Amino acid sequence: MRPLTRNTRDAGTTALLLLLLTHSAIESAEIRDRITPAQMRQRQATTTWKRTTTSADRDPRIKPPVNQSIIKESVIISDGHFWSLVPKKAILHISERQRRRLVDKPVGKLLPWKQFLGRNRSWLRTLEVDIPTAAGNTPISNDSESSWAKRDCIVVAVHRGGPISVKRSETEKPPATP
Amino acid sequence: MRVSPVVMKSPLIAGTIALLGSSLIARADYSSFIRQYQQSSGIDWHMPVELQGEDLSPLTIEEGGALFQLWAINLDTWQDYLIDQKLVGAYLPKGEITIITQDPYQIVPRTRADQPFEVHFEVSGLLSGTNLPDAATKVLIEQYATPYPQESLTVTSEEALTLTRDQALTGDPIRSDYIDENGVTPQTFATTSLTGTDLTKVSGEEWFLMHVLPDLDALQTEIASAKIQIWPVASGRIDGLSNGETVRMQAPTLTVYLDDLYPSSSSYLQIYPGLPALGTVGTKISGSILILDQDKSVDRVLTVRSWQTTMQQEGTYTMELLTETPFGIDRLDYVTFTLDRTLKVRSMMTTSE
Repeated sequence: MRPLTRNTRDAGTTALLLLLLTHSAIESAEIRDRITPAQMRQRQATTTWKRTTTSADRDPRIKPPVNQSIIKESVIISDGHFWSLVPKKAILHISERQRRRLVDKPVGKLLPWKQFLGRNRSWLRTLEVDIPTAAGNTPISNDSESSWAKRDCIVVAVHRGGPISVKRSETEKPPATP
Repeated sequence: MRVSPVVMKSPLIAGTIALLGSSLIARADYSSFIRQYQQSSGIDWHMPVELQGEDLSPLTIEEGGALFQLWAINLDTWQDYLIDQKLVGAYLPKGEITIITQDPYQIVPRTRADQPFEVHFEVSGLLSGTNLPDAATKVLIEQYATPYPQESLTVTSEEALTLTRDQALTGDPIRSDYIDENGVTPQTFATTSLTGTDLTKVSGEEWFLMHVLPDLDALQTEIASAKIQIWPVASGRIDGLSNGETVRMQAPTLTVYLDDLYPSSSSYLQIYPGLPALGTVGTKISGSILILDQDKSVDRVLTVRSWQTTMQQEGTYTMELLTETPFGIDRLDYVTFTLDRTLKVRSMMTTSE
């Protein structure tokens, strides 16, 4: 049995193998008959490790890393032709007229957030927030709130260009979005 | 996705994210981004990323840890894929899983069903002592073994075969154990752990996960993962030449059936004088050589003609069907025949007057 090697390409070994394959004499190679199913079964049985048998054996603290969907865990914004997604609670303000842009199912073609924002700046705005604000430790300034309150637009919180959720305090009025 | 927390001078800890190559990330019809979810505060951030590179996460790593997820969404079908995820925390243990096989293929660890491989579980940051929570003293490792769907094996598409996380991690793990020591814990597997009627013909993926054991209600517990592809053992047969047959001037046309050829393999017919002797290095038959260097196993049928020139003298010969892989050379089939080129004339002499 050949010694195990790390999963990295060894150009020298590969080149040598190709060279050997072009010649009919492979003196150093050992030829064996194909393993049979019975031999395979015996070989598999030699692996020894603790085995989980039923669901009851699983540690209840472990979260199954399945059934996740970033789309289902986000808010979808659509302009009728394209759509993008932002984290839930990333929308800080939404006017009545623009509520129709929040959809349950995607409409049109998916665009990365930056491209989608660039296409829809007439009604889509962003507010750069810092981490304490995103964590709800610092409220959003009144100036910011009042600047968009009367505008017909959607305001999304971003941090370094990426949409970010904002934890609003109980005294702050949420925008009533998903 | 590799996440390496870097301790700065301030109490803040930044996460450095290095994106490794992924077949989905590299395609232009996918939109990719990293999601950072802070387990304690609930901050959810979509960080746009380039196809390959490094970037610094400016969010602090909270006590409950930060979950980094690499997502890819198909721009046309809207199907989202969780490519990788890692849970990182200042007070959480850190883990890495490395899989070592005999196949030097770089894109993803892979091996053949009958071949051994090693899994190294590397843990750091575990504490020892009394009255410590489980999250600080041990991690849980799990193994999943999921076969490729049968219908996907018959598709002739050139696309690589791969399971999504949901497909690979559905159901219960087949093995699990706790690690309570820092360092590398190696585990050797003699063969694949996939099951089936014929173990030489199973194919699929084995995933290995490492979890922390948090006390709080964490969104996720996984801190490391790795997977290995398992491909079947090839089989084949030589058709058109029977055992004990006599070949005369023109050699019969051969049909060579090859099933489940390993993605990186060279298969061919060889011939040598005499009875079968396993291990004999013979002469390769021109026109029978098939070299593969690809992402998945395949079936092939070859037609070999005019191979009689490989034999110089009359007598008994053995023809073998061989396949060479990173794991060695396997004989899939062989046939013994006799070469007799002597022209025999049967006649009867008569005279007439």
